[in-house]
Amino acid sequence: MTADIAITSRSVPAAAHLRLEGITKRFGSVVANEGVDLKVAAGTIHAVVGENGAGKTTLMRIVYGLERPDAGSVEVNGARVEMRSPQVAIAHGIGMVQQHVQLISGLTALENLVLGREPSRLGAFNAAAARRQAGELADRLHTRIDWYAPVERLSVGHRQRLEIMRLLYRDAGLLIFDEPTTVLTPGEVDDLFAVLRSLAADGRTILFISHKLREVLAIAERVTVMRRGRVVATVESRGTDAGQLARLMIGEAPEPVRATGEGATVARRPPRDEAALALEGCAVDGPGGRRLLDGIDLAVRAGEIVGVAGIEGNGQRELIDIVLGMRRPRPGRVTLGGRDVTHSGVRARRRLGISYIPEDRNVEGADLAGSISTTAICLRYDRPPLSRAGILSLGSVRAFTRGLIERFGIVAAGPDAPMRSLSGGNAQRLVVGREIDASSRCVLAAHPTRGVDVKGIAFIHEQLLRLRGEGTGILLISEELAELFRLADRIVVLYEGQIVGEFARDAVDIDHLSRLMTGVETGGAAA
Amino acid sequence: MEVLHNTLVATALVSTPLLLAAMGGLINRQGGIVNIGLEANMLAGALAAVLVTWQTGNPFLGVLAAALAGTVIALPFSLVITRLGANEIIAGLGLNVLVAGLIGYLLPVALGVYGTFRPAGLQRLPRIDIPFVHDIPWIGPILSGKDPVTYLAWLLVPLIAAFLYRTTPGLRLRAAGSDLEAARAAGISAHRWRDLSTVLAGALAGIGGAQLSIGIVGLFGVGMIAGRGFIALAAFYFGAARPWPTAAAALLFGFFDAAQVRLQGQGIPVQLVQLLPYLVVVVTLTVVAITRARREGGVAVA
Repeated sequence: MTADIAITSRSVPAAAHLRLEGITKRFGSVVANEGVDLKVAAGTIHAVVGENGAGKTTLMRIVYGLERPDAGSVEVNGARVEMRSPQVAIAHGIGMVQQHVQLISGLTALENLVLGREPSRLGAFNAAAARRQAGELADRLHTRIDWYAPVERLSVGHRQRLEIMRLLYRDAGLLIFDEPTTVLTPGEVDDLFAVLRSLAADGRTILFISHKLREVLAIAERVTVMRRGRVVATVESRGTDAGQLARLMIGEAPEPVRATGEGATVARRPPRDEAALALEGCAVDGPGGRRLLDGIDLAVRAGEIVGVAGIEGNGQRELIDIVLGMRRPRPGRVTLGGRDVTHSGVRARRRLGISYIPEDRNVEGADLAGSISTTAICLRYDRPPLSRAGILSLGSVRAFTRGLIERFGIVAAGPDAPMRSLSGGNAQRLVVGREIDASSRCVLAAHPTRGVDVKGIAFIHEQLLRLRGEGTGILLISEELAELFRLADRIVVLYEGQIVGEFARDAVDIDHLSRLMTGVETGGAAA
Repeated sequence: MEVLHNTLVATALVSTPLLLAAMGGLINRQGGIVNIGLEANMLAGALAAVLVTWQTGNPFLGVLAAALAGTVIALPFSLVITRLGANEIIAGLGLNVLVAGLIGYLLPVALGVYGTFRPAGLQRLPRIDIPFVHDIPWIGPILSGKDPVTYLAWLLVPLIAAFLYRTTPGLRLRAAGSDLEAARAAGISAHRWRDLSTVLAGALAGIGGAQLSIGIVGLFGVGMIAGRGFIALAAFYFGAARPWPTAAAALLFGFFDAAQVRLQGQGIPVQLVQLLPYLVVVVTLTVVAITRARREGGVAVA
């Protein structure tokens, strides 16, 4: 569904500074960008919004020469340019502040500023000239920086400021900012916006990537919305509102929730009042004292599925970590079946009956270098019958693995076949099967169906519903609204580390939900 | 006192191979590669110096040849790491085994000797007295009367410091070494700077080998480097890849290398005495590791 809300060609006053046509980029079988057209008028602030994975960053990396497109063209000031490398982009006056700070530790702020175009006298680095230009740039941005400090000692806000100065030092006319506000405190965001406005007033063009719609509407004149690698619409920010952008960004509402969904066909006991998992007042601080998770109160009852909706990077990772025991909340309390496990490690919690379906099975779920049985036994290898006194019983290991393979219908050559030989769907089946087999009380499922085919998805959903029926409490973290609607009894919304809303299964308002997810509406918690 | 003075007199000379290899390793480290292959560069340099000096009668041409030999070995080593993504530790170990094996094979085949090659009338690097300094009692012989490569090595310490911290190529080299991706994003050909740092390391280590073969002992032996490439590694680790502290470490290890020779025949078994410099390296590195961990807030306990 491509809905052109406002026609852009009419409203572009100045010549296009940057023009992309038909940009397509694939990574293996994943399409990151497909036929993307984008026109950015000179001297404007233009935002590109979309969920994580919508293809925004890939597109910007193509513009800056860090990736080469499979098809399509890039035009700068009306002339076609082959962006072979960042050098080419820099030569055409393009600069980019990437999501992850691209400053070089070990070098001073001053050295970082001039790197690549150092003032020199007879090959010797002319530190005095560099310092003079640095001072002028700092004055222009109304900031002060300790130029002789190693960059790793600067605050995050200062590092970003330094990156902006670096672009100005090279006299970039088109500045790309990829999610610049995610690392900043609210005060620093205001400062950044003031800088961006003054840059645009100078006649520079700004491309601003974000998924925070309130910010985008505050700073940008024109907004392009991307979804699943395509441009869905380009709108004037004056002629739109956050609700409309949120709908464009998240897409059509999933099929209406049926009270008699698939879940109804599986025998199920009503949720019991006892909490399988409870978080009380949990907070996690990130580097630089930023709150990544704040005041989380969340209980999952036995026989209940609680869905966590939210755009990735809003505290999901930290939530997983404190539930599983990879990190301690500070402050906060975690209980599992009524027992305080706040200070227990992962192994102790697993013994108490929590299992984990990881978002990326290749990183956290499977031993890709080993055999299928290594991955299969990793929760039980240290107990009989698989081992006695530290000695593995290979016969039992094979038998156990074969058992999982048969019970969960995994297509595999046998327990000793390499893990790599399994297809993505079968690998996920093995991990899900192993975790379900070991679980009793609580399942933590993080994006359990990401990268899994339709058959695999159905299998995983069926297993989760079956467990719920047996009285297991399930915390389901997912970006797929359809998945949450289908499985969850309740849905909570996570935004910037806080729970900003909660919906009962049969009372979900999709518009309200997407506004909460994108920060257009802050909900009761943050108000 | 006599033994101490003798040891100090020998220290500067014996430190030179360590100093040169450590300076090379330091540049390479700053350029982003931990060079385990310094040993091979030194060995090749030692042989090249003996061969060319023997053929031409000019030890300075020998030193030049050693630098060239180190470079020739270092370039493919670097390319394998930067362009093909080989692991630098494995590549370095491989280089050491390869070069030692190749020389061990070629020596009998090409020169008809086993293990040691000592051509008759081999010119050595001359010893030069520094005017006035030479005449200072006690101190004079410690500082003066060394070969030109030793003086050059010490001159290189401030020059390398200036190169790394005061010139634009030095800045780019450090940038490429510190963060390859970020350096590329800043528009720098990071791989090329990494390769350059390896080549410089090869040349310097090669010259270090030459000083050992035609400056100190006057022959080539297949086992003559005897782990000095690794001691150099320890020296720039100790010095946190900064020129002056690294030079100080090279001097310290050189002192114990010199002491080891002087202490032989004093009643302690030779094999034990020969262990002394290596023992000092282990102790120093342990102390450095502990103090660094303390400073950074507690030793990690697994």
